[in-house]
Amino acid sequence: MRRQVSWRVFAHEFNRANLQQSGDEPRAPSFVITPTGAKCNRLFVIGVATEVENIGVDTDLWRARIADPTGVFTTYAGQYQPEVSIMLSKMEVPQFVALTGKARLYEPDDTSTYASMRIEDIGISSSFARDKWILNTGIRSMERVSAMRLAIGSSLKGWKLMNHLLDKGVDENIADGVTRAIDHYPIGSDVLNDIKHIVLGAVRSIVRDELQHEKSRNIVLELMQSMDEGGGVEYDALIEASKEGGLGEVMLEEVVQDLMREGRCSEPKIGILKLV
Amino acid sequence: MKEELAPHIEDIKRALSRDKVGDDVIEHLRSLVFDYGVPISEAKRSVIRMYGGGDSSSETSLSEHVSGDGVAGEIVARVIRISEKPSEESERTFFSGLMSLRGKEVFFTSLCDFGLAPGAVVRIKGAVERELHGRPELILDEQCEVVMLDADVADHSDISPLSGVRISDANVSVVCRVLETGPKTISTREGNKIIFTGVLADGTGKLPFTSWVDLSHVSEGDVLRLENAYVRSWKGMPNLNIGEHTTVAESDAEMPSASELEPPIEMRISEATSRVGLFDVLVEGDIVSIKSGSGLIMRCPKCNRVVQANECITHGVIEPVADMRIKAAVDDGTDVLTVILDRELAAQLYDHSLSDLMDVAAQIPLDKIEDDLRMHLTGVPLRVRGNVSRAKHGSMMVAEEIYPVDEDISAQVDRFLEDRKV
Repeated sequence: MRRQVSWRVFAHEFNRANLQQSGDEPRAPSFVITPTGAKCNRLFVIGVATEVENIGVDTDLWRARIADPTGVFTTYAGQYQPEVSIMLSKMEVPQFVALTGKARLYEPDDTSTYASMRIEDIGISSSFARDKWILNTGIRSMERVSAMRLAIGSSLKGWKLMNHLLDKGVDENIADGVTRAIDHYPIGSDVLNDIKHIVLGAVRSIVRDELQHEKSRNIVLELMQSMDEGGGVEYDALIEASKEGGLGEVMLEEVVQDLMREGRCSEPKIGILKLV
Repeated sequence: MKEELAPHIEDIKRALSRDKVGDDVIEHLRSLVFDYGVPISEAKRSVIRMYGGGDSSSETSLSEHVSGDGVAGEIVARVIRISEKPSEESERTFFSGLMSLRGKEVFFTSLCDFGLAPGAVVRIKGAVERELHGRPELILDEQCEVVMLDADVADHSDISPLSGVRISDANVSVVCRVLETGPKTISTREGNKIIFTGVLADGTGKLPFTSWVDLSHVSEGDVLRLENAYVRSWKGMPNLNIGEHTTVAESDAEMPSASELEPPIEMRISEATSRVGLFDVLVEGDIVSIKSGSGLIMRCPKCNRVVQANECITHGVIEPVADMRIKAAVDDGTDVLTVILDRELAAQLYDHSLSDLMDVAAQIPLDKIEDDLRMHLTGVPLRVRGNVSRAKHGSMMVAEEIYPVDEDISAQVDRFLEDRKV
């Protein structure tokens, strides 16, 4: 069977999905359809792992919460995903991770639906890859929002809507998902505006990140210059001083790593840093 | 109400090539929009269709057409490329591709099979023009009238762009630049024979060629006009064959320089997977999965096949040779491709050489190496260049080169936010 495409969806949207389409034959794929019409069998996410826990009773069942700027994905790996489980068991949080997995909806009763991902592949990622993912996901999300607006504006349903969207040049995968979503979700243009607002906020956070990074760098450089009396700066002392300056340890470590990679800072003795 | 409709009535006048339209036309439009709630673009189209017949419409170029959503007047175009896209969900098939009109290239989607083929020159009435992602696009549906024209009507109508060439095409004519050419000796039943192989390019695509006739008078950089060539499949890709009946002539047509033609054609993965085979293309996507058989592998020294222990299916017990490769699923959100990276490219991407892996392999099992590869490479963005061929389980690219992905996305972020300012 041909491999299914991995969809890019933000957590806020994915967690609000409560529509699924099961495959008709035993081995046919099943899909979760999101409020903007992403018809996903598989998702690709890069975010921050904030919590990893083994919630299994008799067998291992790992649950990892993966955050993006809009919300948190709930992801799982169990006994049938041994390699992923091993990786999760050794993971330190917080950590940038990239994952590919199957979209799942769990409906314990008539009133609640929980969207989650069963992890198929997982890797350690970087802030750059995460930023690129946010941008790409933003682009793809807005593509779908545009298609939803077209659908709402047409007041059409079913195959007539599908044809109308295809006529307008909407990608076939998106047209299919949008046609199903519009039938099910109470989506009006105000809901779409909310979604757009969240998407733009997510993309804006990339830039904020960079500015933040720039500010942090300056704080660290200044501190190191003022604290160095000739013999370098003790790392522990730097942590304390940075905290007082409003800079957390994780960010400090990232900045120090960057400076060392650039050759601007060295570690002449363990625990002592020196600006070059 | 009249004021709202005024600009749309202007559009209709233009599409029908008339200075005035009757009250019946205006009333029809008004009724569709206000009584039936039909969206304005749809209403206009319906009116134009209904009142457009019987008029002598003149050919118009795209720029004279109604702006935004509208119906094109009569156009004459040449099909550059077309591919069929079957839908997995519905019974529907449709076609999409590229056409050229008056020297401009325009994308099109056709909901019906009009029998369009690359090189065909057609007169189309009633195509709908849309703007998609900032570019004009034509939509052809069952209400369009499509007439095949005599090839003499348009310029160079018999020439196919290389991107439109398909496996088992016969009688193909192309104008292109020779990027590579050279003799090659092959052994046939009648003894050794010299053939010529190389690469052709014309800006729309690149194509490898095989010539069964002497091509020693042709040099790299020459611009040629080939007529009556035929296309065979070779290694899963189209290969232009020059035979006894092919005319090979110099051409003084305008052609980009060899260095301009050298770069690969960049495309979305969904476009790469829609074709049976493609030569020298570039895609950008994320590694969404590392497939098994990646990392340190063992090969039979005689046939190069990947072996498990020290036994080859063909050669029995052998002393296996170590090698390194990565098989990755690369996905850009439009579709997914299996990319194979050889030892050199794998080392570039993974930042470890084969000898690094072999050192490690002395202490830890092979599958732990694969696990480490997965941990570091899953989610990595990649730009990769190579040939694409389609097999039963999907399309595959044997990578020739990988390029770093631009880390500075601030300009793209700015553009995204600018485009969507409320």
